[in-house]
Amino acid sequence: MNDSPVPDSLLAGWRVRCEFPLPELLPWSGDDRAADLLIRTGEVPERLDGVVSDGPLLQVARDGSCRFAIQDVAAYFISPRGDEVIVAPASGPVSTSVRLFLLGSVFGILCHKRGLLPLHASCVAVEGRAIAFAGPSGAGKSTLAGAFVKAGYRLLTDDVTVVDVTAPGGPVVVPAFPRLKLWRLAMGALGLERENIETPRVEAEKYDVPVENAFATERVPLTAVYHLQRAKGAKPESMNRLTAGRAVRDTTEAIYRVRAGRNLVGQQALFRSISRLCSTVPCHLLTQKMDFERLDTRVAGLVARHASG
Amino acid sequence: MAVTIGLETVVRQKPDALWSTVGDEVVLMNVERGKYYGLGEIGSDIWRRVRGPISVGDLSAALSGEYSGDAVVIERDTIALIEQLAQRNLVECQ
Repeated sequence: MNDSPVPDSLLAGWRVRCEFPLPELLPWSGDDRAADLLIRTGEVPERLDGVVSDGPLLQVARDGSCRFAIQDVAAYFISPRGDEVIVAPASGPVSTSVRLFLLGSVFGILCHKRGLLPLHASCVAVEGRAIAFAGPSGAGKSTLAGAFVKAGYRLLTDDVTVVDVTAPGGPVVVPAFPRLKLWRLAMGALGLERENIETPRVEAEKYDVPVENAFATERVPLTAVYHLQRAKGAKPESMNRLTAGRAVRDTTEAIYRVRAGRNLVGQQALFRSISRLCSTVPCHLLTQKMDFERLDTRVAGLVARHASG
Repeated sequence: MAVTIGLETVVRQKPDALWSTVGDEVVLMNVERGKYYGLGEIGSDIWRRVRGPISVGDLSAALSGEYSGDAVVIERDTIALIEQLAQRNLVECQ
């Protein structure tokens, strides 16, 4: 039995019992259930037994266990059912970088394993409905989410939107954890404080800003997914509903750690989950200029579109 | 392999074709190329009709009964779609 001195915390609706502090997460405030996920430090073998998929960063074994490693940071072992993670820091204690990958790639693997669909997207709640903004790094996901927070709306996630596509009433967003990564440029435009911010070495371009007060902790029905792209040159801004094929394609491209997901849940199962999502949740292509002065207008437009809808 | 599609060609979904539905529309996945094809309303209908083996002639006749339009045009469009599906390795033709 582990008499953990660290209080349990909340991650994507799971009760997490971690041997070391995870300051990024909120404390667990739910029922007295047993922990859903145990995290501890320990030995992680160089090579899993019975490897069936062997990538540069990720090994997957026949029994479903995974080994994920980042050189000079840490190696992580993920149990077959995704209920235990063993962390082996490359040196010294658990650092910000070690937690960054734990709450990044390893978290993505855990989502796939536990039947949740992780999208590389930010997500905000508007009158009880979740709106997700997907797109590659630099497309403006965090910036747009940050503008919603500034306008008084709550943030579900800034980086990985975790969707439960099998929820009885339709896809719901499960809040991940309350950090908002923002581009340096976006920081000034949004007028947020720059004090006490960490700059993890691998994401030096982004700042982490705690936004606990704006963070939603309950599951929120997903009402729309916007795939963001930057307007190139003189191209005007536009918004178009995606056809079924494009919606599936773009949403697949937005799946966080999609290769790991294909390995872990299977190509067909992943395709079906994505199709299920696209069946119930309209997907749009939003082509926008990186124009911070017009962020307020864009937020107002999207709110008007979804608040009464 | 290039296959010439005629009215007598018998066509069926490949058993290993990956497909799903988004709303009423069928979306096909080409695993080798990692591509996705939405078939639209009529294309989706055709896809469901080639679940078991059926000749292109019978398929076109069934579609002509279902949709208004010139039978010759429907035949031509059906052959064109089956050709595309065959090229993408999503149907078997004999």
